[in-house]
Amino acid sequence: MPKRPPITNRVRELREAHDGLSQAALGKAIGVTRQTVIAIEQGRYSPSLESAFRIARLFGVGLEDVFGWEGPPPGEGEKTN
Amino acid sequence: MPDDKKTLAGKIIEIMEGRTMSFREKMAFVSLFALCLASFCFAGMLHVVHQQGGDMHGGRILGLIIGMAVLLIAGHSGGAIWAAVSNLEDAREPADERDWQTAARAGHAGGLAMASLLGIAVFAYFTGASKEHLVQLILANFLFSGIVSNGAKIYLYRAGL
Repeated sequence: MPKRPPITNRVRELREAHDGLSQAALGKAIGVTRQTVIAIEQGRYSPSLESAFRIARLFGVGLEDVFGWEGPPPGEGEKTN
Repeated sequence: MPDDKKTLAGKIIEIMEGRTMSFREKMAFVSLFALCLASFCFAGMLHVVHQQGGDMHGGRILGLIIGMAVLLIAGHSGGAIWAAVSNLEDAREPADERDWQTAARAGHAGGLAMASLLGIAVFAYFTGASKEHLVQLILANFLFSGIVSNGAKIYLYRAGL
């Protein structure tokens, strides 16, 4: 099983700041299930690029304001797969 | 009730009726359970036939296949209806990217398991195994690869992609 990339996100924080948007409503807005939103918030799933952009656009912020990379730059240190 | 006080049956019911899992993850549990039950019955049938000193002739094999098919269909249908009725909202959600990725990876694992056992069956055929044993191996192959596939699906849903 490939190691998951060290991607963090602020989806939960942004969602709660966005008029307390529910996980189900967020999922419906970006086209994923409620459980997928839960998995994203818990760091168990990294969304596709399209879904990541949809999330960022929904919250009116840039992609890097939602998702972050906490590992070493690719090519340095540990490999991700 | 505290978690450690719940029985296994109680925990299963809580999982099936709760909303912590997607409908498709619940269906993976249903499939896994149905396949394990079918495997148990399959092994039991072979054991009984072996104990009676009989052989797995065509009629018995056909009966075994039909019995397993009925068991699997009944198990899947019953479990799917229960999972859907207990959470209609979740059951109505279409599959999303995570579901497709999980299904693809789990299917890959199941395919590897099936290919491995088929390879063993081919090896057994060329080393003189009887037709009865080959049929049993092929039937066991379908059950085993299904168990691997659904087990992988549950693992991927829980641990993450």
